[in-house]
Amino acid sequence: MKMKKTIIVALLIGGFVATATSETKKSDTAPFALLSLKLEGCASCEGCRTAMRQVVQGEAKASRIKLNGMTLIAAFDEAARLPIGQIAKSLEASASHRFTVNKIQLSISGTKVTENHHPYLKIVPTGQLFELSGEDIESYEDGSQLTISGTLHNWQATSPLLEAAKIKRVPLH
Amino acid sequence: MKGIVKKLTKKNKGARFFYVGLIGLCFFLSPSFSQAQDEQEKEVPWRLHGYGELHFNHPKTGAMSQSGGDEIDIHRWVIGLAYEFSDRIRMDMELDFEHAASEIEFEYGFIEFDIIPGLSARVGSLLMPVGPLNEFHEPPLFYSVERPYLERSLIPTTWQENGAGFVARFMKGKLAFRAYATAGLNGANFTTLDGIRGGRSKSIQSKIEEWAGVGRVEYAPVKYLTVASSGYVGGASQGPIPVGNIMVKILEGDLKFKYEGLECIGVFLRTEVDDAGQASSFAGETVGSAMQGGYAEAAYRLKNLLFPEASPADLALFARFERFNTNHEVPIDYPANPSAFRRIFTTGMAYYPLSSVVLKADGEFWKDGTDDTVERLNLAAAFMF
Repeated sequence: MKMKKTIIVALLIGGFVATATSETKKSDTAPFALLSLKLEGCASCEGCRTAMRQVVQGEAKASRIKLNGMTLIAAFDEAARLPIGQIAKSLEASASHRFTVNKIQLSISGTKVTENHHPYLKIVPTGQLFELSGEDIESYEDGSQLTISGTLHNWQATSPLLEAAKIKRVPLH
Repeated sequence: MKGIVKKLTKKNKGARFFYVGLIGLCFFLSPSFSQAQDEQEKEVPWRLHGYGELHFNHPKTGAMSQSGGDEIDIHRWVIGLAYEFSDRIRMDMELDFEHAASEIEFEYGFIEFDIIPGLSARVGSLLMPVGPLNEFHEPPLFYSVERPYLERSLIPTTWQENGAGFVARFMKGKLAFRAYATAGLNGANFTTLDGIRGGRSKSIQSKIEEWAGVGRVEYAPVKYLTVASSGYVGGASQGPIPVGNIMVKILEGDLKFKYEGLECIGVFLRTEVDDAGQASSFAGETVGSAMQGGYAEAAYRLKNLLFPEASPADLALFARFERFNTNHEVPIDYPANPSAFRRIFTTGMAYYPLSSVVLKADGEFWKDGTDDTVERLNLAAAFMF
Protein backbone atom coordinates (compact mmCIF):
# COMPACT_ATOMS: atom_id res chain seq x y z
CA MET A 1 0.00 0.00 0.00
CA LYS A 2 2.83 2.36 0.97
CA MET A 3 4.72 1.39 -2.19
CA LYS A 4 1.63 2.24 -4.26
CA LYS A 5 1.42 5.67 -2.64
CA THR A 6 5.10 6.30 -3.32
CA ILE A 7 4.70 5.30 -6.97
CA ILE A 8 1.67 7.57 -7.40
CA VAL A 9 3.51 10.54 -5.90
CA ALA A 10 6.61 9.82 -8.02
CA LEU A 11 4.48 9.66 -11.19
CA LEU A 12 2.81 12.92 -10.23
CA ILE A 13 6.18 14.61 -9.77
CA GLY A 14 7.47 13.18 -13.06
CA GLY A 15 4.33 14.31 -14.86
CA PHE A 16 4.52 17.93 -13.90
CA VAL A 17 8.27 18.13 -14.39
CA ALA A 18 7.84 16.79 -17.94
CA THR A 19 5.03 19.25 -18.60
CA ALA A 20 6.88 22.22 -17.21
CA THR A 21 10.23 21.61 -18.80
CA SER A 22 8.85 21.98 -22.31
CA GLU A 23 10.31 25.47 -22.69
CA THR A 24 8.84 27.96 -25.12
CA LYS A 25 11.25 29.12 -27.76
CA LYS A 26 12.38 32.70 -27.29
CA SER A 27 11.68 35.16 -30.06
CA ASP A 28 14.73 36.47 -31.91
CA THR A 29 13.11 39.82 -32.61
CA ALA A 30 12.74 42.64 -30.10
CA PRO A 31 9.58 42.29 -27.99
CA PHE A 32 6.50 44.33 -28.83
CA ALA A 33 6.53 45.71 -25.29
CA LEU A 34 8.78 45.58 -22.27
CA LEU A 35 7.16 46.48 -18.95
CA SER A 36 9.30 47.16 -15.90
CA LEU A 37 7.72 47.55 -12.44
CA LYS A 38 9.85 48.85 -9.59
CA LEU A 39 8.37 47.50 -6.38
CA GLU A 40 8.78 48.28 -2.72
CA GLY A 41 7.92 45.71 -0.09
CA CYS A 42 8.93 42.27 0.98
CA ALA A 43 10.84 40.25 -1.59
CA SER A 44 12.99 38.45 0.93
CA CYS A 45 10.85 35.34 1.18
CA GLU A 46 10.29 32.86 -1.61
CA GLY A 47 6.52 33.22 -1.25
CA CYS A 48 6.68 36.92 -2.11
CA ARG A 49 8.87 36.38 -5.14
CA THR A 50 6.53 33.71 -6.49
CA ALA A 51 3.52 35.92 -5.71
CA MET A 52 4.99 38.84 -7.69
CA ARG A 53 5.65 36.62 -10.66
CA GLN A 54 2.28 34.88 -10.56
CA VAL A 55 0.23 38.06 -10.16
CA VAL A 56 1.88 39.72 -13.16
CA GLN A 57 1.79 36.56 -15.24
CA GLY A 58 -1.87 35.97 -14.40
CA GLU A 59 -2.88 39.55 -15.23
CA ALA A 60 -0.74 40.31 -18.22
CA LYS A 61 -0.08 36.97 -19.94
CA ALA A 62 3.45 38.13 -20.65
CA SER A 63 5.75 36.02 -22.81
CA ARG A 64 8.52 36.15 -20.22
CA ILE A 65 8.88 37.47 -16.68
CA LYS A 66 12.11 38.16 -14.83
CA LEU A 67 12.57 39.29 -11.26
CA ASN A 68 15.67 41.47 -11.12
CA GLY A 69 16.20 42.67 -7.55
CA MET A 70 12.99 44.55 -6.75
CA THR A 71 12.21 45.12 -10.42
CA LEU A 72 9.81 42.87 -12.29
CA ILE A 73 10.38 42.84 -16.02
CA ALA A 74 7.66 41.47 -18.29
CA ALA A 75 8.35 40.99 -21.99
CA PHE A 76 5.49 40.75 -24.51
CA ASP A 77 6.42 39.18 -27.83
CA GLU A 78 2.97 39.53 -29.37
CA ALA A 79 0.87 42.70 -29.55
CA ALA A 80 -1.60 42.69 -26.66
CA ARG A 81 -3.55 45.16 -24.59
CA LEU A 82 -1.49 45.83 -21.46
CA PRO A 83 -3.63 46.00 -18.30
CA ILE A 84 -1.01 48.11 -16.52
CA GLY A 85 -3.32 49.73 -13.97
CA GLN A 86 -4.81 46.34 -13.11
CA ILE A 87 -1.36 44.77 -12.67
CA ALA A 88 -0.36 47.50 -10.20
CA LYS A 89 -3.67 47.22 -8.37
CA SER A 90 -3.45 43.43 -8.12
CA LEU A 91 0.11 43.53 -6.80
CA GLU A 92 -0.91 45.97 -4.10
CA ALA A 93 -4.00 43.91 -3.18
CA SER A 94 -2.23 40.56 -3.28
CA ALA A 95 -3.20 38.14 -0.50
CA SER A 96 -0.65 37.85 2.34
CA HIS A 97 1.93 40.15 0.85
CA ARG A 98 2.59 43.86 0.99
CA PHE A 99 3.92 45.45 -2.17
CA THR A 100 3.82 49.03 -3.41
CA VAL A 101 4.42 49.84 -7.05
CA ASN A 102 6.83 52.79 -7.06
CA LYS A 103 7.65 53.27 -10.71
CA ILE A 104 6.59 51.76 -14.02
CA GLN A 105 8.75 51.96 -17.11
CA LEU A 106 7.51 50.92 -20.51
CA SER A 107 9.11 50.35 -23.85
CA ILE A 108 6.46 49.85 -26.52
CA SER A 109 6.00 50.07 -30.27
CA GLY A 110 3.10 51.88 -31.94
CA THR A 111 2.00 54.65 -34.27
CA LYS A 112 2.17 58.32 -33.38
CA VAL A 113 -1.20 60.06 -33.65
CA THR A 114 -2.53 63.45 -32.55
CA GLU A 115 -5.89 63.76 -30.84
CA ASN A 116 -7.26 67.00 -29.37
CA HIS A 117 -3.87 68.65 -30.02
CA HIS A 118 -2.07 66.07 -27.84
CA PRO A 119 0.40 63.48 -29.13
CA TYR A 120 -0.43 59.82 -28.48
CA LEU A 121 1.12 56.46 -29.25
CA LYS A 122 -1.58 54.21 -30.65
CA ILE A 123 -1.19 50.45 -30.47
CA VAL A 124 -3.06 49.69 -33.69
CA PRO A 125 -3.88 45.99 -33.13
CA THR A 126 -5.47 46.68 -29.74
CA GLY A 127 -6.47 50.33 -29.97
CA GLN A 128 -4.71 51.09 -26.67
CA LEU A 129 -3.54 54.72 -26.40
CA PHE A 130 -0.65 56.21 -24.44
CA GLU A 131 -0.42 59.97 -24.15
CA LEU A 132 3.11 61.14 -24.92
CA SER A 133 5.34 63.81 -23.44
CA GLY A 134 8.97 64.65 -24.10
CA GLU A 135 11.05 67.24 -25.91
CA ASP A 136 11.57 65.36 -29.16
CA ILE A 137 8.11 63.95 -29.63
CA GLU A 138 6.85 66.88 -31.72
CA SER A 139 9.59 66.28 -34.29
CA TYR A 140 7.95 63.02 -35.41
CA GLU A 141 5.09 63.38 -37.84
CA ASP A 142 1.74 61.59 -37.35
CA GLY A 143 1.79 58.06 -38.67
CA SER A 144 5.41 57.46 -37.68
CA GLN A 145 6.09 53.95 -36.40
CA LEU A 146 7.97 54.41 -33.13
CA THR A 147 9.32 52.45 -30.21
CA ILE A 148 9.17 54.69 -27.16
CA SER A 149 10.84 53.97 -23.83
CA GLY A 150 10.12 55.98 -20.73
CA THR A 151 8.38 56.35 -17.41
CA LEU A 152 4.65 55.80 -17.21
CA HIS A 153 2.50 58.18 -15.15
CA ASN A 154 -1.20 58.00 -14.16
CA TRP A 155 -1.10 54.29 -14.83
CA GLN A 156 -4.66 53.81 -13.59
CA ALA A 157 -5.94 56.16 -16.34
CA THR A 158 -7.44 54.91 -19.61
CA SER A 159 -4.59 56.53 -21.56
CA PRO A 160 -1.60 56.71 -19.21
CA LEU A 161 1.06 59.34 -19.85
CA LEU A 162 4.32 57.96 -21.25
CA GLU A 163 7.20 60.34 -20.57
CA ALA A 164 9.52 59.51 -23.44
CA ALA A 165 13.18 59.16 -22.54
CA LYS A 166 14.18 57.37 -25.72
CA ILE A 167 12.45 57.38 -29.11
CA LYS A 168 13.40 55.02 -31.90
CA ARG A 169 11.85 54.96 -35.33
CA VAL A 170 10.72 51.47 -36.31
CA PRO A 171 11.70 50.66 -39.90
CA LEU A 172 8.79 49.77 -42.15
CA HIS A 173 9.10 46.39 -43.79
CA MET B 1 39.24 34.92 9.18
CA LYS B 2 41.22 31.69 8.97
CA GLY B 3 41.22 31.48 12.77
CA ILE B 4 37.47 31.89 12.96
CA VAL B 5 36.90 29.20 10.37
CA LYS B 6 39.30 26.90 12.20
CA LYS B 7 37.60 27.51 15.54
CA LEU B 8 34.11 27.02 14.13
CA THR B 9 34.95 23.80 12.43
CA LYS B 10 37.62 22.24 14.58
CA LYS B 11 35.36 19.23 15.23
CA ASN B 12 34.49 18.66 11.62
CA LYS B 13 37.09 18.86 8.88
CA GLY B 14 34.47 18.44 6.16
CA ALA B 15 32.59 21.46 7.43
CA ARG B 16 35.79 23.54 7.07
CA PHE B 17 35.74 23.01 3.32
CA PHE B 18 32.10 24.03 3.33
CA TYR B 19 32.80 27.33 5.15
CA VAL B 20 35.84 28.17 3.03
CA GLY B 21 33.83 27.37 -0.11
CA LEU B 22 30.92 29.52 1.04
CA ILE B 23 33.13 32.50 1.87
CA GLY B 24 34.88 32.07 -1.48
CA LEU B 25 31.51 32.01 -3.23
CA CYS B 26 30.51 35.26 -1.53
CA PHE B 27 33.72 36.97 -2.66
CA PHE B 28 33.20 35.59 -6.14
CA LEU B 29 29.65 36.87 -6.34
CA SER B 30 30.04 40.22 -4.60
CA PRO B 31 31.56 42.33 -7.44
CA SER B 32 28.97 41.25 -9.97
CA PHE B 33 26.21 41.70 -7.36
CA SER B 34 27.24 45.34 -6.79
CA GLN B 35 27.34 45.83 -10.51
CA ALA B 36 23.86 44.37 -10.80
CA GLN B 37 22.57 46.83 -8.21
CA ASP B 38 24.10 49.72 -10.17
CA GLU B 39 22.57 48.53 -13.40
CA GLN B 40 19.02 47.70 -12.35
CA GLU B 41 17.91 47.32 -15.92
CA LYS B 42 20.52 44.70 -16.70
CA GLU B 43 19.03 41.27 -16.25
CA VAL B 44 20.86 38.93 -13.90
CA PRO B 45 19.72 35.32 -13.46
CA TRP B 46 20.23 35.19 -9.70
CA ARG B 47 19.38 37.08 -6.56
CA LEU B 48 20.90 36.95 -3.09
CA HIS B 49 18.50 37.23 -0.18
CA GLY B 50 18.54 36.60 3.51
CA TYR B 51 17.78 37.76 7.02
CA GLY B 52 19.27 37.75 10.47
CA GLU B 53 18.34 38.41 14.08
CA LEU B 54 20.28 39.02 17.26
CA HIS B 55 18.37 38.40 20.52
CA PHE B 56 18.82 39.36 24.15
CA ASN B 57 16.54 37.45 26.57
CA HIS B 58 16.22 38.11 30.30
CA PRO B 59 15.77 35.34 31.38
CA LYS B 60 16.58 33.08 28.43
CA THR B 61 13.72 31.48 26.53
CA GLY B 62 12.49 28.07 27.66
CA ALA B 63 13.04 28.91 31.33
CA MET B 64 9.91 29.08 33.52
CA SER B 65 11.93 30.74 36.23
CA GLN B 66 13.14 34.32 36.75
CA SER B 67 16.55 32.93 37.70
CA GLY B 68 16.94 30.98 34.47
CA GLY B 69 19.91 33.10 33.38
CA ASP B 70 20.16 35.76 30.67
CA GLU B 71 21.27 35.15 27.12
CA ILE B 72 22.45 37.07 24.09
CA ASP B 73 22.46 35.07 20.89
CA ILE B 74 22.99 35.42 17.16
CA HIS B 75 19.80 33.47 16.85
CA ARG B 76 19.48 33.22 13.08
CA TRP B 77 21.67 34.39 10.21
CA VAL B 78 20.34 33.23 6.89
CA ILE B 79 21.70 33.55 3.38
CA GLY B 80 19.72 32.54 0.32
CA LEU B 81 20.14 32.35 -3.41
CA ALA B 82 17.50 32.35 -6.12
CA TYR B 83 18.63 31.41 -9.61
CA GLU B 84 16.60 31.54 -12.81
CA PHE B 85 17.65 28.77 -15.20
CA SER B 86 15.10 29.99 -17.72
CA ASP B 87 11.90 32.00 -17.86
CA ARG B 88 9.94 29.06 -16.49
CA ILE B 89 12.37 27.15 -14.30
CA ARG B 90 14.16 28.48 -11.25
CA MET B 91 15.82 27.40 -8.02
CA ASP B 92 15.48 29.01 -4.61
CA MET B 93 17.27 28.06 -1.40
CA GLU B 94 18.32 29.32 2.03
CA LEU B 95 20.93 28.20 4.54
CA ASP B 96 20.31 29.09 8.16
CA PHE B 97 23.33 29.54 10.44
CA GLU B 98 21.53 29.27 13.78
CA HIS B 99 23.09 30.28 17.11
CA ALA B 100 26.20 31.77 15.50
CA ALA B 101 26.50 28.89 13.05
CA SER B 102 26.61 26.22 15.77
CA GLU B 103 23.61 24.68 13.99
CA ILE B 104 23.41 24.79 10.22
CA GLU B 105 19.97 24.16 8.83
CA PHE B 106 18.87 23.80 5.24
CA GLU B 107 15.96 26.19 5.59
CA TYR B 108 14.47 25.31 2.23
CA GLY B 109 15.55 24.57 -1.31
CA PHE B 110 13.42 23.75 -4.30
CA ILE B 111 13.18 23.84 -8.05
CA GLU B 112 10.11 25.65 -9.33
CA PHE B 113 8.48 25.08 -12.72
CA ASP B 114 5.84 27.42 -14.18
CA ILE B 115 3.04 25.35 -15.69
CA ILE B 116 0.49 27.96 -16.75
CA PRO B 117 0.24 31.64 -15.78
CA GLY B 118 -0.52 31.71 -12.07
CA LEU B 119 0.29 28.02 -11.47
CA SER B 120 3.72 26.65 -10.63
CA ALA B 121 5.01 23.31 -9.39
CA ARG B 122 7.78 22.82 -6.85
CA VAL B 123 9.94 19.91 -5.82
CA GLY B 124 12.52 19.90 -3.04
CA SER B 125 12.65 20.95 0.57
CA LEU B 126 9.48 22.97 1.02
CA LEU B 127 8.36 25.33 3.76
CA MET B 128 5.12 23.84 5.03
CA PRO B 129 2.19 26.15 4.32
CA VAL B 130 0.71 25.95 7.82
CA GLY B 131 -0.26 29.14 9.63
CA PRO B 132 0.60 32.70 8.69
CA LEU B 133 4.25 32.68 9.82
CA ASN B 134 6.02 29.48 8.80
CA GLU B 135 6.58 30.57 5.20
CA PHE B 136 6.93 34.28 5.99
CA HIS B 137 9.12 34.22 9.07
CA GLU B 138 11.60 37.01 8.31
CA PRO B 139 11.94 39.04 11.53
CA PRO B 140 10.89 42.45 10.12
CA LEU B 141 7.55 40.81 9.19
CA PHE B 142 6.49 40.31 12.83
CA TYR B 143 6.80 42.71 15.74
CA SER B 144 7.87 40.58 18.72
CA VAL B 145 11.47 39.55 19.38
CA GLU B 146 10.52 35.88 19.54
CA ARG B 147 8.10 34.34 17.08
CA PRO B 148 4.65 33.71 18.61
CA TYR B 149 5.13 30.69 20.88
CA LEU B 150 2.11 28.93 19.40
CA GLU B 151 4.04 28.95 16.14
CA ARG B 152 6.78 27.02 17.88
CA SER B 153 4.88 24.50 20.00
CA LEU B 154 1.81 23.87 17.85
CA ILE B 155 3.20 24.82 14.43
CA PRO B 156 6.86 23.79 14.57
CA THR B 157 8.35 26.77 12.72
CA THR B 158 10.58 26.72 10.83
CA TRP B 159 8.97 23.57 9.39
CA GLN B 160 10.30 22.25 6.12
CA GLU B 161 9.86 18.79 4.57
CA ASN B 162 10.94 17.14 1.37
CA GLY B 163 8.20 16.80 -1.20
CA ALA B 164 6.50 18.25 -4.23
CA GLY B 165 3.38 20.24 -5.01
CA PHE B 166 1.73 23.25 -6.50
CA VAL B 167 1.64 26.99 -5.83
CA ALA B 168 -1.10 29.04 -7.42
CA ARG B 169 -2.54 32.51 -7.44
CA PHE B 170 -5.76 33.40 -9.21
CA MET B 171 -8.53 36.03 -9.21
CA LYS B 172 -6.20 38.99 -9.79
CA GLY B 173 -3.94 37.86 -6.94
CA LYS B 174 -6.77 37.74 -4.41
CA LEU B 175 -6.87 33.94 -4.12
CA ALA B 176 -3.71 31.97 -3.40
CA PHE B 177 -3.15 28.33 -2.58
CA ARG B 178 -0.31 25.92 -1.97
CA ALA B 179 -0.73 22.13 -1.88
CA TYR B 180 2.16 19.71 -1.33
CA ALA B 181 2.77 16.00 -0.81
CA THR B 182 5.66 15.65 1.61
CA ALA B 183 7.42 13.21 3.90
CA GLY B 184 5.45 12.61 7.10
CA LEU B 185 6.50 13.46 10.63
CA ASN B 186 8.26 11.01 12.92
CA GLY B 187 5.92 10.27 15.85
CA ALA B 188 8.77 8.70 17.84
CA ASN B 189 10.07 12.19 18.60
CA PHE B 190 6.89 13.94 19.73
CA THR B 191 7.02 15.44 23.24
CA THR B 192 4.71 16.84 25.91
CA LEU B 193 5.62 20.52 25.74
CA ASP B 194 6.78 20.88 22.14
CA GLY B 195 4.13 18.62 20.63
CA ILE B 196 5.00 17.48 17.11
CA ARG B 197 8.10 19.71 16.86
CA GLY B 198 10.64 16.93 17.37
CA GLY B 199 9.02 14.93 14.57
CA ARG B 200 10.28 17.18 11.78
CA SER B 201 12.81 15.61 9.48
CA LYS B 202 14.33 19.05 8.64
CA SER B 203 14.77 17.55 5.16
CA ILE B 204 17.67 15.40 6.40
CA GLN B 205 17.34 11.94 4.88
CA SER B 206 13.58 12.13 5.49
CA LYS B 207 11.96 8.81 6.19
CA ILE B 208 9.03 8.27 3.87
CA GLU B 209 7.40 5.19 5.26
CA GLU B 210 4.56 7.65 5.74
CA TRP B 211 3.54 10.51 3.47
CA ALA B 212 1.63 13.66 4.30
CA GLY B 213 -0.55 16.11 2.44
CA VAL B 214 -0.56 19.80 3.34
CA GLY B 215 -2.33 22.80 1.91
CA ARG B 216 -3.21 26.40 2.52
CA VAL B 217 -5.76 28.73 0.95
CA GLU B 218 -5.61 32.51 1.31
CA TYR B 219 -8.31 34.87 0.13
CA ALA B 220 -8.18 38.66 0.19
CA PRO B 221 -11.75 39.77 -0.66
CA VAL B 222 -10.77 43.39 -0.04
CA LYS B 223 -7.40 45.09 0.27
CA TYR B 224 -7.61 45.31 4.06
CA LEU B 225 -8.57 41.73 4.87
CA THR B 226 -7.06 38.30 4.30
CA VAL B 227 -8.71 35.10 5.53
CA ALA B 228 -6.78 31.87 5.34
CA SER B 229 -6.91 28.25 6.34
CA SER B 230 -4.31 25.49 6.43
CA GLY B 231 -4.67 21.74 6.72
CA TYR B 232 -2.27 18.85 7.21
CA VAL B 233 -2.86 15.09 7.28
CA GLY B 234 -0.03 12.64 7.48
CA GLY B 235 1.12 9.36 8.91
CA ALA B 236 3.83 9.54 11.57
CA SER B 237 4.69 5.89 12.23
CA GLN B 238 8.12 6.29 10.76
CA GLY B 239 11.42 4.71 11.50
CA PRO B 240 11.92 2.87 14.74
CA ILE B 241 8.28 2.58 15.79
CA PRO B 242 7.55 -1.07 15.20
CA VAL B 243 3.78 -0.94 15.50
CA GLY B 244 1.05 1.62 15.85
CA ASN B 245 -0.76 3.88 13.52
CA ILE B 246 0.23 7.38 14.49
CA MET B 247 -1.41 9.97 12.33
CA VAL B 248 -1.30 13.76 12.63
CA LYS B 249 -4.13 16.02 11.53
CA ILE B 250 -3.87 19.81 11.73
CA LEU B 251 -6.59 22.32 10.97
CA GLU B 252 -5.77 26.00 11.19
CA GLY B 253 -7.58 29.24 10.44
CA ASP B 254 -6.30 32.80 10.52
CA LEU B 255 -7.46 36.28 9.71
CA LYS B 256 -5.47 39.44 9.04
CA PHE B 257 -6.88 42.93 8.98
CA LYS B 258 -4.85 45.96 7.95
CA TYR B 259 -6.29 49.44 7.76
CA GLU B 260 -4.18 52.58 7.78
CA GLY B 261 -1.78 52.03 10.71
CA LEU B 262 -3.86 49.34 12.42
CA GLU B 263 -2.96 45.69 11.96
CA CYS B 264 -4.80 42.82 13.64
CA ILE B 265 -4.24 39.10 13.36
CA GLY B 266 -6.08 36.15 14.85
CA VAL B 267 -4.97 32.52 14.62
CA PHE B 268 -6.67 29.34 15.83
CA LEU B 269 -5.23 25.86 15.45
CA ARG B 270 -6.08 22.31 16.49
CA THR B 271 -3.79 19.32 16.06
CA GLU B 272 -5.00 15.76 16.56
CA VAL B 273 -2.65 12.83 17.00
CA ASP B 274 -4.21 9.42 16.40
CA ASP B 275 -2.63 6.65 18.47
CA ALA B 276 -0.99 9.23 20.75
CA GLY B 277 -0.61 6.44 23.32
CA GLN B 278 1.96 4.79 21.06
CA ALA B 279 3.82 8.09 20.68
CA SER B 280 3.64 8.62 24.45
CA SER B 281 5.03 5.18 25.21
CA PHE B 282 7.92 5.87 22.87
CA ALA B 283 8.55 9.36 24.30
CA GLY B 284 8.20 8.22 27.91
CA GLU B 285 5.90 11.19 28.57
CA THR B 286 2.41 12.28 27.63
CA VAL B 287 2.01 13.26 24.00
CA GLY B 288 -1.32 15.01 23.60
CA SER B 289 -3.95 13.34 21.46
CA ALA B 290 -5.24 16.83 20.81
CA MET B 291 -3.29 20.09 20.95
CA GLN B 292 -5.18 23.32 20.62
CA GLY B 293 -4.77 27.03 20.92
CA GLY B 294 -4.76 30.43 19.35
CA TYR B 295 -3.52 33.96 19.57
CA ALA B 296 -4.73 37.43 18.82
CA GLU B 297 -2.48 40.40 18.14
CA ALA B 298 -3.10 44.08 17.53
CA ALA B 299 -0.46 46.50 16.35
CA TYR B 300 -0.46 50.15 15.41
CA ARG B 301 2.11 51.76 13.15
CA LEU B 302 2.83 55.36 14.14
CA LYS B 303 4.57 56.47 10.95
CA ASN B 304 2.02 59.17 10.13
CA LEU B 305 2.21 60.62 13.66
CA LEU B 306 5.95 60.51 14.28
CA PHE B 307 7.84 60.74 11.01
CA PRO B 308 7.75 63.00 7.93
CA GLU B 309 6.13 61.48 4.86
CA ALA B 310 9.45 61.21 3.00
CA SER B 311 11.10 59.31 5.86
CA PRO B 312 11.26 55.52 5.59
CA ALA B 313 11.21 55.21 9.41
CA ASP B 314 8.30 53.69 11.30
CA LEU B 315 7.45 52.69 14.84
CA ALA B 316 4.94 49.97 15.73
CA LEU B 317 3.39 49.28 19.12
CA PHE B 318 1.86 45.86 19.61
CA ALA B 319 0.19 43.53 22.09
CA ARG B 320 -0.49 39.81 21.72
CA PHE B 321 -2.23 37.19 23.81
CA GLU B 322 -1.56 33.50 23.23
CA ARG B 323 -3.31 30.57 24.85
CA PHE B 324 -2.51 27.00 23.92
CA ASN B 325 -2.29 23.52 25.37
CA THR B 326 -0.20 20.70 23.91
CA ASN B 327 -2.03 18.29 26.26
CA HIS B 328 -5.52 19.59 25.49
CA GLU B 329 -6.66 15.95 25.25
CA VAL B 330 -4.48 13.02 26.29
CA PRO B 331 -4.48 9.26 25.60
CA ILE B 332 -5.90 6.82 28.17
CA ASP B 333 -3.38 5.90 30.89
CA TYR B 334 -1.34 9.06 30.34
CA PRO B 335 -2.05 12.03 32.62
CA ALA B 336 -2.13 15.58 31.23
CA ASN B 337 0.87 17.67 32.17
CA PRO B 338 -0.43 21.01 33.51
CA SER B 339 2.73 22.75 32.25
CA ALA B 340 1.50 22.09 28.72
CA PHE B 341 -1.25 24.69 29.17
CA ARG B 342 0.34 28.09 28.55
CA ARG B 343 -0.92 31.66 28.47
CA ILE B 344 1.43 34.38 27.28
CA PHE B 345 0.85 38.09 27.04
CA THR B 346 3.48 39.95 25.01
CA THR B 347 3.65 43.68 24.46
CA GLY B 348 6.32 45.98 23.11
CA MET B 349 7.53 48.02 20.18
CA ALA B 350 9.40 47.67 16.92
CA TYR B 351 11.32 50.59 15.41
CA TYR B 352 12.04 50.44 11.68
CA PRO B 353 14.73 52.91 10.51
CA LEU B 354 14.11 51.25 7.13
CA SER B 355 11.38 48.78 6.22
CA SER B 356 13.97 46.00 6.09
CA VAL B 357 15.79 46.76 9.37
CA VAL B 358 14.17 46.61 12.79
CA LEU B 359 15.05 47.15 16.45
CA LYS B 360 12.62 45.46 18.85
CA ALA B 361 11.89 45.53 22.56
CA ASP B 362 9.14 43.65 24.36
CA GLY B 363 8.02 42.05 27.59
CA GLU B 364 6.48 38.59 27.98
CA PHE B 365 4.23 37.57 30.85
CA TRP B 366 3.87 33.80 31.12
CA LYS B 367 1.54 31.66 33.18
CA ASP B 368 1.18 27.90 32.83
CA GLY B 369 -1.29 25.34 34.15
CA THR B 370 0.68 24.89 37.38
CA ASP B 371 0.25 28.64 38.03
CA ASP B 372 3.99 29.14 37.57
CA THR B 373 4.71 32.58 36.14
CA VAL B 374 7.65 34.24 34.51
CA GLU B 375 8.27 37.71 33.12
CA ARG B 376 10.79 38.11 30.35
CA LEU B 377 12.43 41.15 28.75
CA ASN B 378 13.53 40.71 25.14
CA LEU B 379 15.56 42.92 22.81
CA ALA B 380 16.45 42.31 19.19
CA ALA B 381 18.13 43.78 16.15
CA ALA B 382 17.14 42.21 12.83
CA PHE B 383 17.16 42.69 9.08
CA MET B 384 16.14 41.13 5.81
CA PHE B 385 17.11 41.77 2.21
